[in-house]
Amino acid sequence: AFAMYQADAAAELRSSGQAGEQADGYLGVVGSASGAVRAQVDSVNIKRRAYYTDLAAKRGAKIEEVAATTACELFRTKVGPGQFYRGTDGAWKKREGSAAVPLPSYCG
Amino acid sequence: MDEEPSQEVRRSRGKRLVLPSILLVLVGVVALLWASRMRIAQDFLDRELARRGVQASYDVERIEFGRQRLANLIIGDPRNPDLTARTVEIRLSWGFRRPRVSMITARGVRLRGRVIDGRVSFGEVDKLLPPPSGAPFRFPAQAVDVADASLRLDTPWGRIGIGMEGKGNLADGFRGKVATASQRLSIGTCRLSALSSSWQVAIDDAKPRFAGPVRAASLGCGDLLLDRPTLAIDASLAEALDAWRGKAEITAGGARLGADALGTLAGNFGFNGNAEATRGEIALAAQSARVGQVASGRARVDGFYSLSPKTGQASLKANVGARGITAGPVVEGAAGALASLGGSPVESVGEALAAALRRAGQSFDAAGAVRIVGGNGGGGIRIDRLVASSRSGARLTLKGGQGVTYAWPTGLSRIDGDLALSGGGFPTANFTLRQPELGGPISGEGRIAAMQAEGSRLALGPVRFTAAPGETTRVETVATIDGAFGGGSVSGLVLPIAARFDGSGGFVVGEGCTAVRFRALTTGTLRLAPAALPLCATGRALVWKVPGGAVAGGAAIRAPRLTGHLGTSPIAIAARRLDFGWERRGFNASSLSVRLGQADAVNQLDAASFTGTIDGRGLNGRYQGLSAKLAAVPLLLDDGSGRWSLVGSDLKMDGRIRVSDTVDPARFYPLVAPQFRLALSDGKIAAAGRLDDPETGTHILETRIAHDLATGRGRATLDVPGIVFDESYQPEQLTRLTTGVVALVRGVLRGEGEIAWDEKGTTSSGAFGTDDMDFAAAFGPVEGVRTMVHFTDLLGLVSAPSQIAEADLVRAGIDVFDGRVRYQLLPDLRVKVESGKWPYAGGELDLDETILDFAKPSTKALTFRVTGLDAARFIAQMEFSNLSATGTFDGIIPMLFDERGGRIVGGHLVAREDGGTLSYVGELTDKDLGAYGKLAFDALKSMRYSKLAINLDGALDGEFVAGIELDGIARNPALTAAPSGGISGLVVGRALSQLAKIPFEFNIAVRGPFRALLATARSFEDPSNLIQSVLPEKLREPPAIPTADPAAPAPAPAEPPKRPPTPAAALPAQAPSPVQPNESESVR
Amino acid sequence: CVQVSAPEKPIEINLNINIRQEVVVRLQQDVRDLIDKNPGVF
Repeated sequence: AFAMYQADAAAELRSSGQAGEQADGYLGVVGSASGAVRAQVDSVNIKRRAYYTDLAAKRGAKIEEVAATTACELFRTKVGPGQFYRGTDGAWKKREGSAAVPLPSYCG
Repeated sequence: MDEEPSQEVRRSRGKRLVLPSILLVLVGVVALLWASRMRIAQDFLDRELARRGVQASYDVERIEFGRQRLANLIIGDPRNPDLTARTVEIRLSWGFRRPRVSMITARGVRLRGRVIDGRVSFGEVDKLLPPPSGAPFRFPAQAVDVADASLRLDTPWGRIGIGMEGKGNLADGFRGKVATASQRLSIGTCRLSALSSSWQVAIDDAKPRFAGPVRAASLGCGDLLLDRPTLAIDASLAEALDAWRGKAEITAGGARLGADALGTLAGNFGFNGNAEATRGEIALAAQSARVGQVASGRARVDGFYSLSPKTGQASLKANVGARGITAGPVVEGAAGALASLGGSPVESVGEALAAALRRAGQSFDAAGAVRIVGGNGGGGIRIDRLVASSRSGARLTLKGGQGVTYAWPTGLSRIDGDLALSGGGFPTANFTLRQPELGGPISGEGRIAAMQAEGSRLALGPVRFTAAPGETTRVETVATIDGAFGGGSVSGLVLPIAARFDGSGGFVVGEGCTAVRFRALTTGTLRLAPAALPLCATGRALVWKVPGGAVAGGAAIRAPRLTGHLGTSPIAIAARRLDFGWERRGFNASSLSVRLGQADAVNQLDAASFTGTIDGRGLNGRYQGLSAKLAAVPLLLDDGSGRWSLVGSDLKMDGRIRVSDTVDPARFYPLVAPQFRLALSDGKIAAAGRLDDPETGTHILETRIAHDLATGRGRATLDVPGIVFDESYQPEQLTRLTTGVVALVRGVLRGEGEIAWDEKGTTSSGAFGTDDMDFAAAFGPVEGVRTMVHFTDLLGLVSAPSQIAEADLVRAGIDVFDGRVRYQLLPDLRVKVESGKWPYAGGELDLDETILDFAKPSTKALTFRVTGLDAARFIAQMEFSNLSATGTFDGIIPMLFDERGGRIVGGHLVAREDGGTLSYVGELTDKDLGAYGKLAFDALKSMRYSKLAINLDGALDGEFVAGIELDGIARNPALTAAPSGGISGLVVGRALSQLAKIPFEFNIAVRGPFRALLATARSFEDPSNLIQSVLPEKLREPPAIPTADPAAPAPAPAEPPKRPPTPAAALPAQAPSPVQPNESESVR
Repeated sequence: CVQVSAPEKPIEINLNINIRQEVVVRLQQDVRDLIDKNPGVF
């Protein structure tokens, strides 16, 4: 009844091609998307920001540092073939086949 | 109850043989004496006797011509003589040639005989008798005068004593008396006790004739028992005693044959015939009779009978009559069968008939002509004519045709004649029936008048009987019924009936389909309009019974359609199929649909399957796949299953149901009620139940619904005792409205609401809130929210104005405490923020009134007014440990949010005119600042400014520009310690000190992602790189006229709670980062 | 005395995020736990 609330909402959004991972650690809407998808993306990002705020406070780091570190992990493990990602250059790119997603320099 | 005729015959033959043998013996003895008279000599007689080996003794008293007299004659063992006679006298008469014995006189004769294997033996006397000749027995032509003679006969059946006296010629003219007596006789299965008879005997031309009574204490044969029977017989026998004619009177205290009994019997019967067949009239009356369970008072039979003692066949054709018959138990059986009409509309007619039957059965008289034929192989009874009339006034007559026949042991019956019934509470009915053979098909017609009782009426059309294939009888009629049943009533119910009977108990009623019609059917306040329904048999027939099997049946109505009114609301009931079962007296409706209410406000109820059984009080059963929609309530109930009961028109339903929002898109996802109870009685619906989340079972709310079908008015209360939101249950599982607005909710929402509707429309109100809720919003986590929303239109999610919401803490990057917002929920998911107030850094943030539209993507404007922001408190709050400033700022930060994200447009913070101080006490990380850089840096150590204004513009998550205008002078040049030593140090020192006094005017533009600014402001410790980049190129060369504009840290404006919806930050190109701010944030 | 006039053009401060690598490395394990613990969100 509420397909919206799903255990793997983020994975669903990525595979639907309507959203992609960004270098700043948040999901971004790719192109124009319905209100429902936008609400979904907002809902994921609200939770991510809350988690980043808590981890930043716990580790004495900056929220966007935690966010950026997460982005490194997400680029490395969660962006599937054919799914969108947006690097620090700000442009949406599609992952080609099994080639690794280029990571921002600071990812290490 | 025919007696065993052959037994009767055997007993009488036995008595008949004994009698003539006595005479025979006497004659024999006398003839012997006479023959030897001539040579009368004692010795001669002795020799003769000795010759025949007969032991005898006698005294010759006188032998003279014409008369001889013997005395004390003893034949046989003297101690146990076979024959003794006191005196025997023979008188002779001389005829032509030979003397003839003209008269034998005997006195005091005692004879003893025994019957051994069917033959009579008199001991020694046998030797005197002529050997048995084959000729049939005939009386000898001999005159005798016998008195005081007796015979004691020992038979296998018992001892009989016979006394005799009489005079006359034995062949013709003898007149005398014979008496018999016996204590106990048992012949075959018959037992007589204290038998005695005394007959007048007359023999004319060799035919004996008896007349006189026979009495016995009791006569019983097999299970027939006559009590104190007395028989007055007047019979005459043929010469050979093998045929008889006469008549007899019979009386008996009573007769019993097994369980049947006749009381104080009296009557007479004639008999004429022989062992082959005897026939005669019979007229018998009993004071009382009991046959099986039927008992009567006086009963009489008179007619003709025929009996064949040899073969046991018997037949009776007689008029039979009985008065005061009670047939209680038999009637009770039939009355009981009528009771099976219980619960049906003709129940009271059935009861009236049963009562009439019972009253009639209590006492009625019956008379008729009967023919009975019977034998040990079976038999039959045929009633040719019958009139039965009861004190209750009921009267049944049967006449014409072949009458009613019943044969046993086959049990077949036959009805052929005219039956008429009337009076005593029975409907007048008459039938003309033809049934040619026993058990064969019946044809004919019958008419039954309509029956009426206590408001229920049954009218039967002409009943037609026709022969049908397979030796069955087809019966057709049409029943019209009006009457009450289980809390309701039906009128004008027309039920065509077609049945077939096979004559041995099997029947089939209603094969194929029958069109059933009714004019009106009401139950409680439900009134159904006239309807015609095709009732089709599902099995062999609507109702059928195989001979010896149980009654079975089943019917189905395909696509029934019923319309009518429930109270004042029109109702339409339909189903794909309606099945009836006979055994369970139940029904099963598949895809039932009920529409209730006026055209524009139709309440709907549908069920995939609706089954029920009829019990005493009404109907009850189960339902599956039920859905219901109340016109006025925007809720849909479906996927229901459970139990229901209907008494009169009071309906109760109880079971599981799912509740979903009919608005599209739904404002809440479907909830489930595990135990929803609904009751409908006299037009009012009352329902209640608790609603839970289907997946997690979380308890959401309790609801009570009341609805008046007549007025269309109703009310529903919603009570939310407390919805607990935590990791296991989130608002987005309950509704789509919170997705993308709030997440990770933790807290309890409670409240009460009410929905009311009437002809004018629907209103709803309620108050829902929480007293301690945390959640994550777009701008960051919020903790400790308290609010109570008073809805003026709950369903429209519209609230009263000035609702208060307080939040302990908003962690929007900057921690803002004790927010307090006044808001109002407007129609179409719009929120009017009337005001918002946050104490912040000594001052206050005030949110201007604005309207946020969450229904569709729209620009949301939030304008914050900053008043009295104390720079010192702000820096303390930001925990900039190496920066301090004073001064009070006011300003405005207008923010705009739309689906692309949030941005500040024309943000402006201005320090009040009395300015303030600014000093940076951190050390310098980037050493090659150059002289002027150092100068500027030192100026910052302690600067006095008179004007500080910050302009803020740009996207929250994108390019952001902050313009800072600052003019101030170093407050204490001394503090700007000259670099130590060396000429350059001196020059620099002096230049710097001059410079220090010069009023600086900074004009800084800060560019970068808002969030970065926001976050960085928190950990901004070391402005040196800031300074580095601030100094114009010129300042970097040594001692040119400094036009240094040392940067000053922009005291970041307090971060009001905003909503950057899309964090898709367009990151600026990655420039080498000059600043290495380290982390020293305190842990929140 | 010498008047330092405000320059016509506002001084540009380019505050960009500089993500320090050693911070990223330090947070890597925490972040992997965060991702694993909340599959729906990451």
